[in-house]
Amino acid sequence: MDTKKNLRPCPVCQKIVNVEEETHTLYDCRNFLLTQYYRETDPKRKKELEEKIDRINEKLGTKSKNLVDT
Amino acid sequence: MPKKELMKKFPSLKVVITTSNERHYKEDIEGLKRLKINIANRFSAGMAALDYLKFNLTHMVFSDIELSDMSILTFLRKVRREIKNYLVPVIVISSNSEEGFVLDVIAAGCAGFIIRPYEVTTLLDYILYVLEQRRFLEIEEELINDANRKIAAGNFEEAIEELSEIAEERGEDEADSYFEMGTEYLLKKKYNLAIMAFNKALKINNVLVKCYTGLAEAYKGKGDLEKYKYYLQKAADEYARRDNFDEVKELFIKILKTDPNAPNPYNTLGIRFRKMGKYNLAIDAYKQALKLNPRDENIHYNMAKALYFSNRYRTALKFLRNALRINPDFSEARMMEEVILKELGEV
Repeated sequence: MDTKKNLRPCPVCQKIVNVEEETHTLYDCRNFLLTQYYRETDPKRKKELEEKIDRINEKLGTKSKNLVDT
Repeated sequence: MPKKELMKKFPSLKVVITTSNERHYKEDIEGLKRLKINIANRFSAGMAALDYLKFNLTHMVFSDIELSDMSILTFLRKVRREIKNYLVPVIVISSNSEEGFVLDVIAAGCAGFIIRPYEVTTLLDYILYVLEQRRFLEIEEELINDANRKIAAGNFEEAIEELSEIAEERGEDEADSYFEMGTEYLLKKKYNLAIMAFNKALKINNVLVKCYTGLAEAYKGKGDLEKYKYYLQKAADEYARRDNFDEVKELFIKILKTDPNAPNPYNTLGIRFRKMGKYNLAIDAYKQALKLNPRDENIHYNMAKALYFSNRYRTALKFLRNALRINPDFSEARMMEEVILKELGEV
């Protein structure tokens, strides 16, 4: 199987996901963005990430900024 | 003990300096001489210092971050792992005060951190602090030595009584509390207090190891092999706890460094341990995480997952239900609840 053909960027978080082998839910998107958010030092980029996380959080009914063990 | 009394002990202290930098050596020896402290030995190489420390009781080591054969972090780890018969406090004197480096030095197990250039009063404070630390559990250590003498003389009953009393008084919980205190201080960036708390945890752990080993020997002497095995296992558990302390501290500091804005690093720590298959360490980390954010459904869920993997289904359910009470739309928690109920045959 050609692994490269199965790699796609997630439309929500942009993480490259192997669609055949990897499960990728909204919680995974949230974790991916949160990890970037923790490490981001540029205030503008941090704000953008926060807005994305807040949108996902709204869908999931949470206000937390802590990771979920997926 | 008052400062003056402690300072009277200075000339008899066995102190070692390790540095490959001549200028630093001159600075450090000058400072110590002003405090009337004689240097037992100086080493440029960490390996030579380690060999010396293994066979010569040393009250404290002042180590520069420049060594000829290894990094200061490797040196600290080797001192912790290779010198088994006693705890050697290593005070690091550093010209690098970057936060990340300080955290690495704490993770590797220093007893103090002094930044160059320093005043002789700073040096004095650290020496007094190390001496005070030595006094922590000094009575217990003396009692253990006394009990060991009784074991050697065949007086097992009395030794068992004394050692059991110490072990009971200095339970495992106390070491854990100091360790937790250490991580809390790290979070608050109170690094000196963190070092102190970690050292106390280590010292209690060390006393318990000695107690349990002594108790095992005493029961062996009495011919009670069941209790001999029991206390050997207790000693092994304490060694494992020490390794856990090291592992938790190192990983926690790594998280603090890589994810500096994580709102709850204990939660991240828990996830890492769960993924490594170390469920008990994960559960301990989540307990700490919940102290910081008791109303965070994600942490309740994460705790449930670690409990589920360690086959503690009922307790896992309790935490899942906490998560669902906080957020009834938590789909992952709902799914896990179903899985657990099926496992329990309650669907």
